[in-house]
Amino acid sequence: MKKNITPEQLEKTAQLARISLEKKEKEKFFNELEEILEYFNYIQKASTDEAEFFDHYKIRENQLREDEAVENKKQEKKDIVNNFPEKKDDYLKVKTVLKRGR
Amino acid sequence: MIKELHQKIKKKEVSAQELAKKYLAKIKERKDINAFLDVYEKEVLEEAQRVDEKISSGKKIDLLEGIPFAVKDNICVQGKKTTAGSKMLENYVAPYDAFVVGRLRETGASMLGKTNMDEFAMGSSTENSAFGFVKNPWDESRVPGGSSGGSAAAVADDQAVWALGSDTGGSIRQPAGFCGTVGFKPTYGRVSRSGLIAMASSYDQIGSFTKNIEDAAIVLDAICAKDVKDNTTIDKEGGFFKNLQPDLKGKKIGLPKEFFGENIGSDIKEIINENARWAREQGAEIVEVSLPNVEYSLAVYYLMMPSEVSSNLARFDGIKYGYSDIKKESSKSKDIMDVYFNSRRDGFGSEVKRRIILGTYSLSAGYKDAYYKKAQKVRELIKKDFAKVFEEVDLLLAPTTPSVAFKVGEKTQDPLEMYLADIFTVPVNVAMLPAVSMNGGFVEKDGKKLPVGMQLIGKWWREQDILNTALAFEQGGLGEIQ
Repeated sequence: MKKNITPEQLEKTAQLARISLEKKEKEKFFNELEEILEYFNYIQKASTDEAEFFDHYKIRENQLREDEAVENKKQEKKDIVNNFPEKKDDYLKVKTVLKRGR
Repeated sequence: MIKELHQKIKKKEVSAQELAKKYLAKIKERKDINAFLDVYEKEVLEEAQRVDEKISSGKKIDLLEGIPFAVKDNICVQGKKTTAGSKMLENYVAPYDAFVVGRLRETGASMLGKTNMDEFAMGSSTENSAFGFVKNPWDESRVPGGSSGGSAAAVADDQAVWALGSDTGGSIRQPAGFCGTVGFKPTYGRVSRSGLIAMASSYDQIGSFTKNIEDAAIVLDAICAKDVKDNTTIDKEGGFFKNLQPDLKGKKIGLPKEFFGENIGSDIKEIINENARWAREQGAEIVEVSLPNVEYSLAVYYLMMPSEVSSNLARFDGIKYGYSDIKKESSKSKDIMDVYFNSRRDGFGSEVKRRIILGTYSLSAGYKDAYYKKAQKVRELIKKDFAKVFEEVDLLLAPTTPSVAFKVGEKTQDPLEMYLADIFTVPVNVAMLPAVSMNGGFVEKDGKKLPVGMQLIGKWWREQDILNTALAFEQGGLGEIQ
């Protein structure tokens, strides 16, 4: 039987999604994803040659606005800064960005 | 219920403060249901006092003013924790109000607090909450449904007069069905999603849990409006409450045969058919219809939704807000990459990770065409099916769920089994249609009476048709809740 996903693909996908998985979790996910992806294959049966976009809005125009800076409320700024996990004064502090590859 | 409470407050038969205290007491008394994650006791009482003073000074009050309601915890309330049921946002304080919250503030409605939910709205039982599961008030050994299980349980258990929820694949209607409340999901684009923590953007829609149809109309009037911050919203007339009147005689109602197949419990099928028979007696025309592509709905949804989830949840990276590995004493993160990986590993629960990985996989090079693009095309076929049927009938009548509320823990070990709980609600989101779930009747399980949800699905933007016919069903009394 053709497998829908391999352990290597799962590992690569988790890397792309920036999620580290424990060994046990990886095994569990692998079996579950295989089953779910098999279920997805069901849609391949649908004939979509004649499918075209159906727009339930009928009439719709682009909504544009002037490209102007809008000043945030003071409290909003304060709340945003307070949510920073780490900060220096009102600046967001992050770990080293350019140091070593992964 | 809202109208009656409004009259009572206005006539000073009950003060807004007494009303607020009554609901706060109920929340405390029923803490074990775990419907609420945060209660704004001080603010509710202050707000109620303001309403009472306003009445005393002879001023008019809005219909929703002083009426206690609850908000699903994925909808932002400025200055308050908005967790989305996730450890990732356990200490996140929203810097702004969601559009709907802003609208409700203008009406003077009294916000009781935030309700429990499946993490990031991913689940059908509220068992995926990082803050404990919610119990179904009808039978506490059963789930309330999900993902808006806290809102559903709160309204069913009289811990709130009404509540906001969000419906991406059935997250309002399915728990409404399990808890015997009215759950309303408007047309995609009717209500702004600004300030709703995004799950699957082409599916998400905010709606309500209420005790009856009239309240659903009142709430929809309050929350629907064009919002410049959500380009899917459009300028359409509300007036749902004003134009509300029972309407069943002469209505053409379709029973989509795909909703009555082998997936559905015979007890549920019987109750929906009984309602159809009753409607026929009242002068409605009942016809069987077919939506040939609707069988693909669940696969389309569970493919597209994780794809959109994987993109939307990329923002939770431990850098700007929310859970971050660097705050941990024992953090081993040396660079920014470590922070991403470790924060997402510890901040997200299992189901969320499963969907992010699933979505990342189906969007990856080599698979995108076979999965996401194919699903998008099938989605259009499903929409077309509905459009065609709606040339023939005014509304569709269908079950909300294939079974009544299941037991806590019954489906947690099998994700695919859990996904099947959404089989009758998902097609509506796939097609972006409006629908209501209301109580259609009861079945008895283990000596307990359990509600059975019934869906009325309407044409795009025709929420009024749904509400008017639903009102006739409600007054008919087949699903009446004592």
